[in-house]
Amino acid sequence: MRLRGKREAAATALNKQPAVHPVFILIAIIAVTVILLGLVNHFTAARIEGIREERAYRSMLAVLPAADIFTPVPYTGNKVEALYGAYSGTELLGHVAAVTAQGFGGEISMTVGVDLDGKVTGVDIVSHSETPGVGSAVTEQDFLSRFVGKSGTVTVNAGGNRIDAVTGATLSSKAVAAGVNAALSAVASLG
Amino acid sequence: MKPLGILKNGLITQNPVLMQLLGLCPALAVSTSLKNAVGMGIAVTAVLVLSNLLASLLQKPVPDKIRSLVHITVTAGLVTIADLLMRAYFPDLSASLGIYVPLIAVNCILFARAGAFASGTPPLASVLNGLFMGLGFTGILCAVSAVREILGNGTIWGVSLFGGGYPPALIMLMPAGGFLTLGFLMAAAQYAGRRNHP
Repeated sequence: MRLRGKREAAATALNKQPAVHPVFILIAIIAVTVILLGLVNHFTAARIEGIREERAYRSMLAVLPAADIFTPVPYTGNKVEALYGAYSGTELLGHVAAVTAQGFGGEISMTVGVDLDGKVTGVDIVSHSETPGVGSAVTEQDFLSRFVGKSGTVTVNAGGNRIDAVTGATLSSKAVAAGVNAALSAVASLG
Repeated sequence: MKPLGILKNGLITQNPVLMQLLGLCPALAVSTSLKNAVGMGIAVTAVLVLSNLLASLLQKPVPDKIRSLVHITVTAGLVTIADLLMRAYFPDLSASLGIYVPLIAVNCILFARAGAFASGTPPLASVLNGLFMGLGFTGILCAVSAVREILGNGTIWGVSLFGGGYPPALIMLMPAGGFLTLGFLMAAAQYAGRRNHP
């Protein structure tokens, strides 16, 4: 540091002051960066949103294939993230819920379809952080199809209205069941 | 340094992962499948090349006092742009890599290169250095992913190798497997290095 100080002193002595105060250079660079970011964001925002919506739509189609339009339903509870009415044309076929449950490794986002009788039509896992090869087995239709036709409150491994957990992934299975139950109760509360 | 020297430096003698031990976090986190590794490698290389180029071009106008701040700003900006572009045009890869795309910004490699190399060198040499460091990073990532995907999933690039009967060694997909694979690769690299330069 001392050497640098001597060099700087010598440079200053030779009248080699920095032309522009460093702060202004920093501000200029930040300004350019921010403008560039704003531009890229502007040109990609629509496409990114479209991709997100298409993903959500495909997931809803997977749980209630008979429907082709999903319109949001006003929902003020806290059990599910969002509720949608599933329509084929103008005919209401059932409801779809976007639910988040606490899994073994983090949040599990899923879509649950419920028909007009309050029975599950399908479950789709959108995202999760379960252990690969173990808990991740709950994303497969082998397990998810066990929920189809269920209503009321589903239990895992024990009880009358139950589904069997994936071997070795009881916690992940229970998390998915909790999500399904939340969806069922939210739809039931619509009356 | 001549281009060939930069190539050898980036890919082998100063390989960012095996020799400099930089970028280990993303290297281990995304190297569970070959596809992810290639995608991550390309993203890192692209950002590295641009980051080095800008660091070299900004040598003269930027005073020493704010050099680090400028590097951080430029790198974070580049990575955010890369992240937005990936989410718009490569959504599946972006979803696979998840949070590790924005984390490229703090990838030590970028910092080490911008600070140590690009600041004192002309633009072309900086670009080449960024390119080969990035390729070196990608190469190691691919090697680790190939091992982990084959042993831990029975597939390579998503293609099943052994049919349904193979019980995968799941530990390979978890962090422990990553460390093991990387450790063996590093040992092999050290051994090879010692044989050539006794």
